Amino acid sequence: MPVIALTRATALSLLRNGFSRFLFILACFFMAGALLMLSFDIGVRYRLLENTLLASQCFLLHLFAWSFGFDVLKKNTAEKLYVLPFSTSLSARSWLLGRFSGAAILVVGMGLLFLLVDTVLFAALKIDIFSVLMLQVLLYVASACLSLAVIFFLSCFLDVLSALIYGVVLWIIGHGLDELLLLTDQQFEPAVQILVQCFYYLLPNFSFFDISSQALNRLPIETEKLVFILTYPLIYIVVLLDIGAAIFSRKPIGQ
Amino acid sequence: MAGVLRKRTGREFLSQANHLLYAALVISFFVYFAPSPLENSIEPVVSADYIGHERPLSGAFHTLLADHYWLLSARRLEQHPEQGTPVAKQNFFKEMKRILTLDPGFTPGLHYGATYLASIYRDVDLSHALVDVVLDYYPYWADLIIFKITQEISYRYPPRPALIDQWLKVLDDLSYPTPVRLNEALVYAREQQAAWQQKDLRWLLNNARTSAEKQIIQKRLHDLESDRPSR
Repeated sequence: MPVIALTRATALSLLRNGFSRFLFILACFFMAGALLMLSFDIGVRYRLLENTLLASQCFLLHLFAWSFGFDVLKKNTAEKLYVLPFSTSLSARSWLLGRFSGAAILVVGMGLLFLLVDTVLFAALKIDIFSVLMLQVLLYVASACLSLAVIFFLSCFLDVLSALIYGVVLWIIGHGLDELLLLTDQQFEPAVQILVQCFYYLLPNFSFFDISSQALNRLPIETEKLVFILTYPLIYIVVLLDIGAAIFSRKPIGQ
Repeated sequence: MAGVLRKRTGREFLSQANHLLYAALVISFFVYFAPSPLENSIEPVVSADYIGHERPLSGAFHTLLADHYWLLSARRLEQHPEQGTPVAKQNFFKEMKRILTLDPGFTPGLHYGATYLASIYRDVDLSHALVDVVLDYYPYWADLIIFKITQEISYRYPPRPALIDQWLKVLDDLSYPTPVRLNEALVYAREQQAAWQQKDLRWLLNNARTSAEKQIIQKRLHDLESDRPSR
């Protein structure tokens, strides 16, 4: 299977990169830093520790996704790897999927490593392990993968740096979409409301992945919402890569 | 070069029709299932309820920012203890509202803030306004509506029957077993108010964030026990 071979090659090339090691060391520093919050108590025991862990893991997972995405796309241009779909039997879709999966697998791997660290730490501190908190970490992994797919999609018609910048900006916008919808519902004209609703449903909506308030306060999540949040990134990633491949296959070689 | 225009074959046309069907399915999935923060609202939220830019701009880190503001608020009160002035009350309310907008699920913060406003500042309306901040995000949280009823009965005499009736109806709509009937609530208010207020103050004292707050609460508790309310 060419996709699996490409995924493996991409993941191995990323792992051999010195920057990946730097990111790993940075992650260790962040985790150690979060442990400093053990002694703080703000009314709920270990709340600040859990909050710092969640925030740092969210930041790191997205940083991993953006760095890996940038690295893979930069190599595509530097080593002229984008000619592969045009010069071999590999389709544009398989090529894009293989390159994306290689980077996404490493992000998922880091997410699982964070889950392991959290499990050990929470077990030691006698905090409930199977809670919404762990689900939030999984959703950060999904969010990071979606952000990576957005950057891959944008790179099909933009240069690498612009794709990365717009990808990060879309992540920031996507986090504020639920608030924007609330705000326009209260203060703006119906035409603006419709426009914002279009943004809410069409742009990658990263606010769906944010259940940190429920996670930290151990509030339940409706099953219907959970099923949606887990299905959403899968569908969105498939659609983005599909459209990206269609655009890419129509792009003249060298552009 | 890829992408040279040529005449479409019937098979390609069908493949494109397939894509259209595929797009229609995906769009219907999002429109039908995507959770909207608006569709849960029991009643329209007034524009004054919405505040600030921190929540949308803080992205995934809004709960961490809420903790940061909680610590800042405690430190400010420790350094500059303000007692009973209207400015102090407004500052306290604004800080709590900001914290709860950033983390609406922070129930210890909500209970502390709402009880403090009702017990120390004797302002039940502001206390209700704080609960409403969380109800904007979780409109089906029946415990919070019960909390509002309890606050009304415990701190306002006579309690406003129309308001209590309205909240009891909301609980009915949520199919939540209503804890009391309206006339019972009014009787409880007359008989139990002082005891409930003392209980709340003791809870506040146990959960006070700073020594400055502890002193204020102790003074209020002392006033209440010696039946000399300070307003």
